[in-house]
Amino acid sequence: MASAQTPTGRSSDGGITLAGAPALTQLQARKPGRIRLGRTFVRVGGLLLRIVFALALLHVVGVLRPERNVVGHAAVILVAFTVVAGPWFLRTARSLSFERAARIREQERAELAAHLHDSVLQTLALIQTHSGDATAVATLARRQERALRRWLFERPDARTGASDMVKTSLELAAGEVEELHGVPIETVIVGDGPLNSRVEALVQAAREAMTNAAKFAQSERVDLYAEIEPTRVIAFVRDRGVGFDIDAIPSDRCGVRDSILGRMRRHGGRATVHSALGEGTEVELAVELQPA
Amino acid sequence: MSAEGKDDADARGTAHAVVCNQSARPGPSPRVVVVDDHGLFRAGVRAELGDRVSVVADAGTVEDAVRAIEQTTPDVVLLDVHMPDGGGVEVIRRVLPVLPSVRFLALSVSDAASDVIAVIRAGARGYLTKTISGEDLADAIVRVAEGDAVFSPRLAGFVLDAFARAPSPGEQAELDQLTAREREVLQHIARGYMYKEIAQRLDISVKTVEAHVSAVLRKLQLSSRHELSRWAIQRRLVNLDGP
Repeated sequence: MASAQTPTGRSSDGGITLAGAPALTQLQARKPGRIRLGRTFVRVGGLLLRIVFALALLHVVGVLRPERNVVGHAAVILVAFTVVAGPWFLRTARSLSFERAARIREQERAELAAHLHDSVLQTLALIQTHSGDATAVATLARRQERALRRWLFERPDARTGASDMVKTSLELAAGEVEELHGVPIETVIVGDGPLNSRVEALVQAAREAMTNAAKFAQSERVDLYAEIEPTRVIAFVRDRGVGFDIDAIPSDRCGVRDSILGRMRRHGGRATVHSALGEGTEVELAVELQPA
Repeated sequence: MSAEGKDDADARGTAHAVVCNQSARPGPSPRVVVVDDHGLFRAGVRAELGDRVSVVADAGTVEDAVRAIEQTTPDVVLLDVHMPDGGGVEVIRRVLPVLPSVRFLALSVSDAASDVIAVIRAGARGYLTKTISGEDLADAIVRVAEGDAVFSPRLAGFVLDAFARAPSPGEQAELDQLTAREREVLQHIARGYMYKEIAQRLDISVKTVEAHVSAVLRKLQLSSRHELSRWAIQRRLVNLDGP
């Protein structure tokens, strides 16, 4: 019964590989398929041969004499089988895990290649087409640098863009303003903590302050510094631009009054604007938090 | 005219460990070796630095760098943090015991705090990001040559982070803590203020600002290895286990 099943199973396997493949793929699929099948035959055949040989040897030596009991026979055959087939099993298991590791490596390489293609290569192409426009090239390079940094060094949530942490939110806000207005924002953030409505207000106010600095200050760069502690969050947005007279903010520029000072006050925080004509501006933001 | 013309510098920039004419400039301008594994970047730095400092050699590998530094004994080595065969840290480790007078200024695009802190702990007198302008870079080299420490906003942030994550005051020596004033100075650097502006704002002299920064650097280099390595491990764990 058992000996009858094995050959039919094999031949049906072979039939699928050799005859069942569509005409187009056959040319490519045939050769490696045949080789693999051949190897399996050789291996299984070798194994069977060894088992038969081992049994014959045991018989000749006299271990399998009829006067011994059944348990003794079974034990002897089991030991013989382990000795003969053990290495084969080990080898198969090892080559499987090796194949698995190789597959994972290949997956990682493909992912990296895909990422570099979507990001760095695209940017390089854009830079080549914009090579006459220094500002565009600088902006492209900055944007790519920021994206690559996030990908290399930061937590997974920072890569996707959605975050419930203060640090990532501030970095994303700075990145967006930088991209929108083409002014580099040097971002330094110490510590981290979860986002809540008060801190969210601070992030929004900082964003507004960065936008103002990028749009109106005529500064070459803007500095954002934030310190996140369990009991408080402070942030400074600073530029070295033209500066302005705080008491003379025109009524149409409600950004400072509403979006920064008003917003912080509404959320129980505080905002201070230091500015002098010709010396730049620094907006200081702070909220106190209940320790968790 | 010195031998360090810009055209020459471009041509030399691509070669490895090029040793230039040392007798050309006896003046006060510091002698610099540029170490970076990117030839393009070395050439760019040479071109940008212009006449304010004199680049006496450059190198693209740790081996070449050590040889070039020992041959030329420069005032300042501009050092890339990331290079094959151990990077900037390895260069400092091999040169400092032999030539303790050479000062190192790290220059990198790297954002990994642990790498930057490692280079500072090995003995670098400062850390700048590669996006810095040629003029600011020349300023920084002159200051490092004079013995000052040069902190970029980013380095100030890393250092504040390092000390903030250290355990509570009861658990560690006084040496490992920053004073209130040192913290204040570092915060101002992180906010983008220059030393001169910080001095004005805090109503102290520029020399005092520099003294505070040097003190921070010393604490960072002397503070117990244990605490900082623990900090680095914590940080890496935080990065790995993010939500």
